Amino acid sequence: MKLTWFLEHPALRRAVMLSFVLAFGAFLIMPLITLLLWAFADRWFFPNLVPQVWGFKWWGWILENTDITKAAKWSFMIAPTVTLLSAVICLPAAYAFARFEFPFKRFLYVALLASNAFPKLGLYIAIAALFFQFRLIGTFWGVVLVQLINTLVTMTWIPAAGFSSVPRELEEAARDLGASPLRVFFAVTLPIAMPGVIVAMILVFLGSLDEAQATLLIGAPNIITMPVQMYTLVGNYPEPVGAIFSILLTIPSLVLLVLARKFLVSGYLAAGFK
Amino acid sequence: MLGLLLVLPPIFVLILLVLYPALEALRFSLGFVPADNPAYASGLDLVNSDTGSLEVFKKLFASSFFSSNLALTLRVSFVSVALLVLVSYPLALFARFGRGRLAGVARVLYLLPMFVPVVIATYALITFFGDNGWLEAILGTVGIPYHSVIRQEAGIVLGHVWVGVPFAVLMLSSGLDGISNECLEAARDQGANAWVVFWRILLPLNIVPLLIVMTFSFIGVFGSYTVPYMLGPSAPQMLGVSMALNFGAFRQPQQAVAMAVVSFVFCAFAGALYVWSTTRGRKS
Amino acid sequence: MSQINFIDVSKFYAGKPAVDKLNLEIKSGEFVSLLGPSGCGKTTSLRMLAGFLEPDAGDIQLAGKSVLGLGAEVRPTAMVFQRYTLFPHMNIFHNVAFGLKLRKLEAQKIRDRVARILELVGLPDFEKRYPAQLSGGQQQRIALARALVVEPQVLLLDEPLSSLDARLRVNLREEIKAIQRQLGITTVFVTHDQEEALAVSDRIAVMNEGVLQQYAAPDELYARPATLFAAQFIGSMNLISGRIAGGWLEAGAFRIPVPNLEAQSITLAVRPEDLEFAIAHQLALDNVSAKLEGVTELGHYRSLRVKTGQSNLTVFAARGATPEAASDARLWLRRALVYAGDKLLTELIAEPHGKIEVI
Repeated sequence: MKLTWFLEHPALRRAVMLSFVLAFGAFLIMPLITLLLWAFADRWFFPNLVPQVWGFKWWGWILENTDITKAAKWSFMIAPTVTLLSAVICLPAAYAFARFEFPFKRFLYVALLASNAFPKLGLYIAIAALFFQFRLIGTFWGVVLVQLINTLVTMTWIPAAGFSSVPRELEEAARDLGASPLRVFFAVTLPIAMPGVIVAMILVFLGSLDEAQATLLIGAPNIITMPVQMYTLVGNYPEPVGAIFSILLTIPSLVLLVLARKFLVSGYLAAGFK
Repeated sequence: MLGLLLVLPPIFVLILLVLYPALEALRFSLGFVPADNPAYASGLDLVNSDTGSLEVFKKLFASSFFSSNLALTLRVSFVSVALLVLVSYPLALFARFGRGRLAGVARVLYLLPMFVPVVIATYALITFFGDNGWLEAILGTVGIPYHSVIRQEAGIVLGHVWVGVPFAVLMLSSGLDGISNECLEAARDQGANAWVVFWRILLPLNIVPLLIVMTFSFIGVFGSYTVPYMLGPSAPQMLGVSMALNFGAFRQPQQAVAMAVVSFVFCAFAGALYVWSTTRGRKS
Repeated sequence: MSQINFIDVSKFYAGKPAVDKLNLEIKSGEFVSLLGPSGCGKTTSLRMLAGFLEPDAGDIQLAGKSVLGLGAEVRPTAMVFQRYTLFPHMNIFHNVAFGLKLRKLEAQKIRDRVARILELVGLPDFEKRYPAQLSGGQQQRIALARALVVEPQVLLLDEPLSSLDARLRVNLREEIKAIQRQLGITTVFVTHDQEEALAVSDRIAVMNEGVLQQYAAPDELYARPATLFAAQFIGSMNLISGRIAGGWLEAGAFRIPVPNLEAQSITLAVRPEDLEFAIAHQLALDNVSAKLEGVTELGHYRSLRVKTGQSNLTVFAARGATPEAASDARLWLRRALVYAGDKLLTELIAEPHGKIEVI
């Protein structure tokens, strides 16, 4: 009998699939639920299954802690800056890759992609050394620049896929009706390609909010963003602090997820990695 | 030519922030110490050479710390990628072919880690899987002994699988979406059972996304910091953690940079394969 | 023997019947077409026969034995799909050999059979090529070869020609028919193209909204469509609503004596070639004054738009005959079908002696 005999029986196949998905779901969700429990625990000693004392004691503490509010401020200054800067730098290139023929196109395309093929921490260290030289360590712009690297591929490839999905016939029809090339771009091409651009911007924004390794290396000691703060919180403070902080840090992601779910399902996510 | 002009800004960023520092680091690791770069020039135990030397690498490979770190890094990278594929492929298949509510749940579920910052994911894994964590408490009520995987090699692997699932499943299932139903039905019609359809049709037709998942994840795990820092043992360490320590706390930038060069060499093959398969996948 | 029987087969989608109590008998060696508009249940029926779908009710039998519960991989049927049907990562040899390898034939035997079947579909020496290098028509020939090479008892064709251009479609359908004759293989052909079905089939099953409308040979189907749907779907048909009262049928401008028929509302259905637009004619049920509104040249014949009373009718005329736009021209009716409700009630034919025969 073959190893996969269960695949041939629909009921068994279903049962195997069901248990696999349930096990996987537990693996993904249980850690997050643990965090949720901790966030509302005033006291929880092992081996109790649930906290002995529920409460909001630590929430007040966190919201009054200036280190943490400062970290939130840095996070929400850096993420939009990185997103906008990346958009300004990459979107024209995305359009060019989608619509123009030019020398070395393929080579440049591959080169851009190759930035993904570096083991990240080694690269950050090399950059850190360079930033020492240019006094960018511990500065806002130093952090913005190092985070920019990880956005190049996302901000070029996803919008490029969006731009090339715009039928040329539509652009030609608009030209035919008397619109100038610039008008065509803003009235026809951009609106149709917008989902791709939005998905790219969301991914870049989230990526910047979540970035910890490079930010720690370049930003410390002046620029401590929320995820970097997490490194020091863990171990130095009781569990509820880390848990509450985690929830606060996940909220922007979840809000964006809900706002953007219309675009996220449309297949652009995968396009960004291809 | 307008196209070339529009493409220049990201390329410029690439040269300035990737290529130039990488080359500088390579030169530094070969003994060319740039006097005008305080981060490099003020390091301890510098090897200084005007003609270039492999002294730094010799010392590195002679160190037992480094070789056990490298061995750990390679082990964790391979095991993480293998496990990731083993978990992600069934999910991708289920996302593509599954019917009903369960498939709908699975299709949303696997995206979850994408929206949880890595630091938080690792922290959540500690609170659940760690010593005196929730899992231990739950298993304790039914009398199953539990030994924590956190601060072990297995902890790093666990973290990377958790974090890596969305990308892997997304990539694989989007590849599977591109395979026509007719093609699969034709195979079944010819007498192929589910197993044969998987090995002879699905797998070969979806090989490029699989390669992308494997190479991209390998590079990611190899150069990771947060996951091993939070979930791994204090010794031996993954190269990323060791690099950061050498660069910062130990003030040995040359060793750190040499490790970076070594890790790039180890990832070069995966990197080349990644770039090749990605551009190939894009073309078709 | 490979006779196929659909027995009271039903299939529901979201509570609605996609196929509704289908009863169909396909004889061994017969070429049968399932014909109808999209959503009529023809593809669903084919897929139930192939084993990709299970019926919700009824039975499907092959050579007298039920095939329900057997997956597509074990049924002795082979299918040619509409498109994307070849395995893109295998060359032509491996595509065609796929099923033979699964049946664990020896390598030499596989090579021989693949070579023979490629010869049969007219594409020898294509073994090394990949599907992407083939034209649409060639791909479908290979798909046919792949289906035939496993020597199935039943060949299933799911609109295999619909993605090809018109000329190729005609050529390939002739070839498929020739190969089918040569092999004598029972064949079920799904199409929405009535001309295609008429050209190749031994019998045609016309379906609409999951219900079998008529199951007949092409000439019978064309001459006497059993339902109003079939009448409209097969060929062109002029439909004039009217009624029978007091032994007379009145529809539009036409008035025909029908002494034996009871009074009721009817629809008069007339083929464009059963009308003649001329000054005078010998054989006719009835003639009315008519006006020519337009002419469309269709190559070997022309289509006239003719107005009579309130009705606009289509009339086919030979290429040579120049219809007169004269005001006294008349429209002559040679043959007509009468439908009561949806069903065919009777056929009216003008007899040589000017008498009307009511069948």
